Amino acid sequence: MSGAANRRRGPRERAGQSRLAALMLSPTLVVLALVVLYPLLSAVRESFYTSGETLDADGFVVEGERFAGLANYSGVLGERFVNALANTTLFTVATVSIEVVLGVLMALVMHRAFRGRGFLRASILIPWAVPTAVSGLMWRWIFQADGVANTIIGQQILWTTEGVQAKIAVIVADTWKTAPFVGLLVLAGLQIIAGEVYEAARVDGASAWQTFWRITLPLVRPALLVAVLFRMMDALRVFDLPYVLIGPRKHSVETLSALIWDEATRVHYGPASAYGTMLFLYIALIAFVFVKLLGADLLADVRTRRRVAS
Amino acid sequence: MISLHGLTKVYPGGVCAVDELDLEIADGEFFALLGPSGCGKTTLLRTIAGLETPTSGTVGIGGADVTTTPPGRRDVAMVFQDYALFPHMDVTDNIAYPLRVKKTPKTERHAKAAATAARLSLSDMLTRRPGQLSGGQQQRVALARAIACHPKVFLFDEPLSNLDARLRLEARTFLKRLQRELAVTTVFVTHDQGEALALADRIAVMSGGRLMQVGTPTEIFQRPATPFVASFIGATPMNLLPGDVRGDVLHVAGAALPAPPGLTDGDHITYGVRPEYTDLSASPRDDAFPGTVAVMENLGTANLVTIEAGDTLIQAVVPEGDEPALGTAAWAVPRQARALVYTGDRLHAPIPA
Ligand SMILES: Nc1ncnc2c1ncn2[C@@H]1O[C@H](COP(=O)(O)OP(=O)(O)OP(=O)(O)O)[C@@H](O)[C@H]1O
Ligand SMILES: [Mg+2]
Repeated sequence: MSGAANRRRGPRERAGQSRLAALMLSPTLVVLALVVLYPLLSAVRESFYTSGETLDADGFVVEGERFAGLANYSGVLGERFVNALANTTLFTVATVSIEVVLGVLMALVMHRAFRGRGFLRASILIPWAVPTAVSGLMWRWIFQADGVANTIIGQQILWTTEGVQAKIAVIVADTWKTAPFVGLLVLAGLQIIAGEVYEAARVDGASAWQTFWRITLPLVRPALLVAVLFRMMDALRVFDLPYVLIGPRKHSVETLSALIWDEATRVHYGPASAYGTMLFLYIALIAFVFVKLLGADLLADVRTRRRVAS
Repeated sequence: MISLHGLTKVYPGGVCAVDELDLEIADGEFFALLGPSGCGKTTLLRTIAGLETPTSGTVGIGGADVTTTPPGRRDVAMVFQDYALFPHMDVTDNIAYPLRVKKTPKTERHAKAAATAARLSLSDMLTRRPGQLSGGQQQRVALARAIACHPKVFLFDEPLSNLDARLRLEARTFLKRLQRELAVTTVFVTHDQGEALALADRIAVMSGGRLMQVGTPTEIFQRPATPFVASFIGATPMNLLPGDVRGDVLHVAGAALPAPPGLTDGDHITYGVRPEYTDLSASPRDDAFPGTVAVMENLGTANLVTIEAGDTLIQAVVPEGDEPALGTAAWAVPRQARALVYTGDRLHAPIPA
């Protein structure tokens, strides 16, 4: 078709195209509504209901679900929920920031051209590949009273009991496990930076430090932001590692997910749903703020870069 | 001053990109490196910049041996063939970056960047990023980044290759003036012989990692040292015709021409004459190459006529109005004072007077 004809038919064709796009997307949207939206909405609904046997106002036993208003949410102000929220936040802030530093360092090392690079890259990824339950057990073994950790530092710390040391153990194990993920995403970001850009900086006489801060870091920023976003959302829902490493119902490492799980196993579906809704809102809020503050810039950067590359 | 001695660069794959090269470039000189694609121009420039370590030989800048000095301490500015702009910085920051590295205060370096940008007609795009510029605009930003600071040496790798014909002429004049003003030693890579002839104080013609000839534009144009240089320089390639010496006569493509002194009977020679120095005659002559008119190309104010003489082609530039008809017989007459005789691969001296 000639360019002119194409242009003349432009608007109508575009309308047709978007109708076609909507048509082709609709099965996906239906499935998404079924498996995401429905459970989400029913969980929110559940959080306003209570179930099980109780006595009604007249002293009769009633069964089944009844509307409970905000009663399920009363626990949100309770000590246990606040503690879980604090733990979750602490783990997220601590692990994500350590992982960013370590991940960037790993990526810089992996990006270097040297012999055995392929092997190094593969081995750096092993912690990420190991199932969390397995690595949790492994770290539990490392952190036991007569374990490797205590032998190395020459102390007798009871890592896997309650207390600050348990929090540290969780942070260490989680960092070990997921720093490679950040490293890999940052590496992908490093690899699309044209080598000539570094050469230009070298000719200008920029030091390695200046080059890192003014060239490398700004250019991997989009990749790094994606990694941080993923990791943050991941860390906010953490459940398995504290469970396996320290155990369930441990006050000092109980996360929101663990609290929800605990309530649900005790058939307290109402509070579980209420906490679940709160966790969902918390994650959504943080993701929203993150994307609002940094996301627009992120997308702009990617677009500019694609044009320069082409 | 830049001095290169026995400079050799062999890439890891075994490609010898620069081969035993000796060269002296004087202070403040505008020096052009000219040669076909892949002859090692970029490699030579990068070795001077310090981005490539020579396999052997030395590089000197301003009297000091800098063979092992890192690029940042050689005080050179470079324009890369693919620009190498910083994609995350706007035009101002790109131009000001070398000054920033040198810790120039912000207002000063921004003023400098704006002034340089203005001289390259970039004032309207100071806040854009490289991704929002055309290729030619990016190239001018790269040029501005190099000239915003005042280094000892400018290294330009085809800095005008992406500009349109008009901008190219403007940028050419600008560069020449700037270089005169700043008197900064400049090495300028190009594969456009017109640009080299127009800009340079001296030209080096490269081929296969070696220097074929170094000289002023006039020398290179009028007395190319080898048939290769002769064919490379000039708007239209020189006619290079094989011939033999018999007594004191050169027999070349059906013409009998007086032989310059110093040739011996039976020598094989290559006779070179530029199309601009070749005239057409409609009647037979002894000192002309006979043939038929095969192709006619319009050059604007003149025509380039190609004559088929047996299996060799001879070109002549004919002024407007004198064009012969296609397919007719014609005799191409070399202006003997402008012709060159090569024996083997070298220019035969003395040149025919
Ligand atoms: N990094 C490299 N590794 C191996 N060989 C290389 C490398 N860079 C260039 N070469 C080879 O070295 C030779 C000279 O390359 P160079 O880039 O210097 O050519 P050039 O004269 O600048 O060509 P152009 O006019 O096309 O830019 C070429 O044969 C090229 O293939
Ligand atoms: Mg090149």
